[in-house]
Amino acid sequence: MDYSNPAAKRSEVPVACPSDDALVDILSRVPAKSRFRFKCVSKPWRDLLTDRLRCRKFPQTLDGFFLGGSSGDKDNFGNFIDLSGRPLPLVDASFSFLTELPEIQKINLLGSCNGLVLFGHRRVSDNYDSLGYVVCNPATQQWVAVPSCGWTPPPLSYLYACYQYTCTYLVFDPAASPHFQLVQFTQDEEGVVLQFRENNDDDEAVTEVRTYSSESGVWSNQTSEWGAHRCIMSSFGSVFVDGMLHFMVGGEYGKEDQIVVVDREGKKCRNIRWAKEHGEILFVGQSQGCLHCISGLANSAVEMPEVSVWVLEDYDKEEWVRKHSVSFAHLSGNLNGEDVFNFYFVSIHPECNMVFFVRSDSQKLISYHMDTKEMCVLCSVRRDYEHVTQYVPYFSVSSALANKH
Amino acid sequence: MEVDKGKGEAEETRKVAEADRDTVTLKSSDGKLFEVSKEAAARLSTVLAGMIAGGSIDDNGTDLKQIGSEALENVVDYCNKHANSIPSAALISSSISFNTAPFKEPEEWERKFVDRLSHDALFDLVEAANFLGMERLLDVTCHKISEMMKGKSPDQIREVFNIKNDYTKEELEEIRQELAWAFYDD
Repeated sequence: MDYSNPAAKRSEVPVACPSDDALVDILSRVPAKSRFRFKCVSKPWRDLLTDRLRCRKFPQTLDGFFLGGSSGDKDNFGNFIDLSGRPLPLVDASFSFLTELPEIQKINLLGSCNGLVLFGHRRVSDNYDSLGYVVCNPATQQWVAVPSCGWTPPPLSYLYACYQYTCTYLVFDPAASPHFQLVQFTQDEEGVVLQFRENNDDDEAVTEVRTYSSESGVWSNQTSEWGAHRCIMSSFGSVFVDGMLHFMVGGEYGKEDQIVVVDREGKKCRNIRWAKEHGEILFVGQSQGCLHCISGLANSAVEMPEVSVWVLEDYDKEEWVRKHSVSFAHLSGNLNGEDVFNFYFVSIHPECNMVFFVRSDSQKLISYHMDTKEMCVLCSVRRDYEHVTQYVPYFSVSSALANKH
Repeated sequence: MEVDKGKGEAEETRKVAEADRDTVTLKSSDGKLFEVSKEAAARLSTVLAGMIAGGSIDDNGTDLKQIGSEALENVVDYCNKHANSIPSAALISSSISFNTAPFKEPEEWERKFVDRLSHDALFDLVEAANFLGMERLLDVTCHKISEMMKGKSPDQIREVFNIKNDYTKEELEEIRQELAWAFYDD
């Protein structure tokens, strides 16, 4: 250090702490992980970091998880797993601001994107989203109803005995637009429902995509190139970044899984290849600025069935780099081997090397840290919860959500 | 009549000269005067831009009672340096960006500018930048401080910021358990 510089010399002496406003400015530029750690500095710092009004200024990170079932009962989705360590949870996890409204009948948690949560809305007697959707912001308790797109499942018949259902994604990026979109595909147990062209070439098939924009307030239908008959694995995670939605397609024995990239209109823009040797994709997520995949390998090539976490460091080159591997036996604590179907992965932490999974036998939500290999049981998960979605809060009031509780 | 007219003309000339001046004079809380490029001040500070546009700039030194002379000197220094620097072209990436941080890295000279400041001076400059609505200077100073904080333990932070630990052992253990994920290495 240059001691001839009086300024440098003086910095050796502890100084008075900056004002709260300046601290908030500084802390909003610190990575989320350090910021959370700094709650341990002192009580005033903790209060500053957890203050409901001030924390709006901080870039948000994973706050917790919403859990929901598919029965649509009003008491069935009200579960929030808080990871933030705030004295009081930030959100009304029971969504009472929605469920107490007379116009809301049955709602099911479908997913979330950058702070908004998507519910399917149906009449008590229906088994599809006959009343459309509800999009809400749990942090501001704002919400809006999206009308049904008019789709109804075709009746089962002798010729067509596959039950059809919809796969609906919410996309929202407040940095790009105050408006959200819904992107909806239809599939049956064999895969996305296809419309074949005249030559009936499997690779040229298209599918119908329905999209809704909160800006126009209407649904529109278009067709998107799809190719072969494959399933969207909607419970295996999705990532929305830079206007592009990424999700996994596959689940077919003997065929490679893929990550499909579609734009806000549902138009397929790209397939990200996934080599079969990397195992079967169990989850697709985003962490530390890169697309991540969790895969499971349980064949003769490996001695012990194992889970690997892969990262797409270079998005354009499509080279998946293995970041971590761990045996299912370690995750289960049972060294005699474990049924790999006992695990389902639900999240990758956006800031650190941590994954979250549910064990279906014990119904526990568990975090696993790749660097320390430590596991931590976060909570029990009710058997009727089928959907776990990660929640990163968004505090601004948005014009796209008309109703305020 | 002749005299009056002459006086009016002189007034007029003085006003024109004032409007033409390419600097403005700012006065710190302790009464020191600083000259700063008018163009840079208007471009970098929303508050000064408003004052210049609204004609509330005092030729004898615009009072900035909230800012001490050391911080104001740094503000003025930053504005003048900024006026002389050529901003580097923003990197344009064609590929999809998973990093959504809007912050543009400090330029070399900005880095040097904040590196030479003491902690005290840095904190004062954050307050001044906040008060004057200088988004870029706020970014650069906060970035510097957040770099100083990166990877530091709560103990080290208490030392840097001269903060007393007011937690009991039990309270600290409880909060650490809740935030276990944040305690692994960056």
